[in-house]
Amino acid sequence: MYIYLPVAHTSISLIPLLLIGIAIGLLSGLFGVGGGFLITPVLMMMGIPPTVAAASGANQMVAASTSATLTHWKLGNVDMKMGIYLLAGSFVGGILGVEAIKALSALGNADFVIKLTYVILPISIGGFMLAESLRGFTKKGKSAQGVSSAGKPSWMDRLLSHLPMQTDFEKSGVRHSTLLPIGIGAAVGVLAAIMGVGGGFIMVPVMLYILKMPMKIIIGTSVFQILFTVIEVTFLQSCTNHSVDFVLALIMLIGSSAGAYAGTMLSEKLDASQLKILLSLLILSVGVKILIELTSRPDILLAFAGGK
Amino acid sequence: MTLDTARDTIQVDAFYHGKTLTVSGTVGGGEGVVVKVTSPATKENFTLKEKAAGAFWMSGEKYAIDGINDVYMLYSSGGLNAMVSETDRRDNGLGYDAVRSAAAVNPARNSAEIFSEFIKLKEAGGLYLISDGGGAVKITPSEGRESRYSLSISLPCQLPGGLYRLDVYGVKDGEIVESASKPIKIETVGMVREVSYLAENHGGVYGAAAVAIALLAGFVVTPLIGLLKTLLALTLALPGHLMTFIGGTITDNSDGFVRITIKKNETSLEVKK
Repeated sequence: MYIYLPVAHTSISLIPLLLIGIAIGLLSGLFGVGGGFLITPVLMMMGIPPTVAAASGANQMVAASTSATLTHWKLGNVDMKMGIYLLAGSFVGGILGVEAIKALSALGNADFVIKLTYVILPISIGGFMLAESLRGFTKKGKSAQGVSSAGKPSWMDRLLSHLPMQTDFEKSGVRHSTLLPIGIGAAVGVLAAIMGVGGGFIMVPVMLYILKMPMKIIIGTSVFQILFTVIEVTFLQSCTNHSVDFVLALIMLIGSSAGAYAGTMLSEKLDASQLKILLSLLILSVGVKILIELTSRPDILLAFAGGK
Repeated sequence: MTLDTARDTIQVDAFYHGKTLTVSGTVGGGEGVVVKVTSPATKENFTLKEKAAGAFWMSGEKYAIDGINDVYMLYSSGGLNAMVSETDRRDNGLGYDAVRSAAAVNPARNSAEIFSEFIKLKEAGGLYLISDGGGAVKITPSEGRESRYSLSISLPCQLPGGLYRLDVYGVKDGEIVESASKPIKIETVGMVREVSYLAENHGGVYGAAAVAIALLAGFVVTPLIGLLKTLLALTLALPGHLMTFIGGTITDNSDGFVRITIKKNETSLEVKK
């Protein structure tokens, strides 16, 4: 059965779209990532224009991240205090990132920096997470929480503990300076704005290795934060580019809401090290995929630039 | 020469997946037929992907192509180049060479490569097509001096709404000897038109509605799944309650069998688990 999409101006088969929604929702609930880096290329492969694919993907993620946030909330996995500080930082970072893009565009090398970020970031983050997780398997007892095998805090812990405005994050069971999550949120916000993604796959490892939060709280807090990002993106894309295809988003969100619920339940059954390995493989494969795409000669060298 | 179509307007509704447009008519005896569907000539902008830093393919120089059709579909009863002279092809915009001669690529350098990539891009999107061999247009000789021609055009779902032009040419001895044309309209209707209009003209309202409905769906799905789980659990528990109600018993034996007994006539049944 085919449905005509009023903004994408093409028709699309219903069943594959529902299945994509379920898969993306599953990833969101399981790992706390938005899935924007997967959904846009998949929709493009199905004949949806890139701008419509990205904007409608964000729209359907509103439903998936609402469902995942609610379920994680009920399971006690959302650190609201940490989430709000990170959000405040990423909001400022998003503005700074947009300005950075403008400055790079003026210099004429924005595209190159964006593409380079797309390759370096997922491969380095995914590679580091995978290596660290595998080391954790071989050295039982050595915690991934930043404490050495001798039980002494690492140099980074000592450095961070000297920052001003220290506060307790009871839900995560950690103590940090208020400035830390705000600063991290800002840095991730800059990168997310440059890359045009929600930033979940950057935020999750950062919360794990720098903020030392427990894996399950990370996932819940990450989807909570992504919810606000995708609401903002959907609204702005509707107002400025008119590129949100609500019919496309509606079909996907039916699948993704259910997928997010299933993913959240599944994440409860897996332990933190299993989740870390799976997520690192996912991030790594995205980086490798982008690297292959960028280095392979495209079949068609011309692309629509819009405008008349 | 006559030209008939089964319909003049193609309506795009919620379940639209392209339509077949049947074109038929009469043509002089012994003539070949060429059919062309085009949208109005326009200007489009493109970027050329180039290799940067010797490693990455990325968007490079911008190009504008003026005097091109967004949609161009051509069908013939035989090979176009064999049927029609170069002059008539160029004068009537028949074939990609004629499209190229009418187009202006800016900047003009590498225009041959740019145009070749342009055709590939359009064909990949289903907007350009030349169906030249194998007699795409069928010609049936009839009594008298005229023949009948017919053609079924599959209009892809990607065709944008607007007014298109359908041209039919009768060709004899390499020259176009007669022609006919008519407009074809593709228009959105119903929900498709309303959503499209709202998205284009009231972005703020549309965006707020899109966010609100997605939020609602996210809020509804978790309790809904919880409700479904409860219903499923009730359904599974129901047979036991039903047996109690009719005075029977269900015994789970350790040998892997479940014994169902109904007291009234002491009938029992053993079912393997």
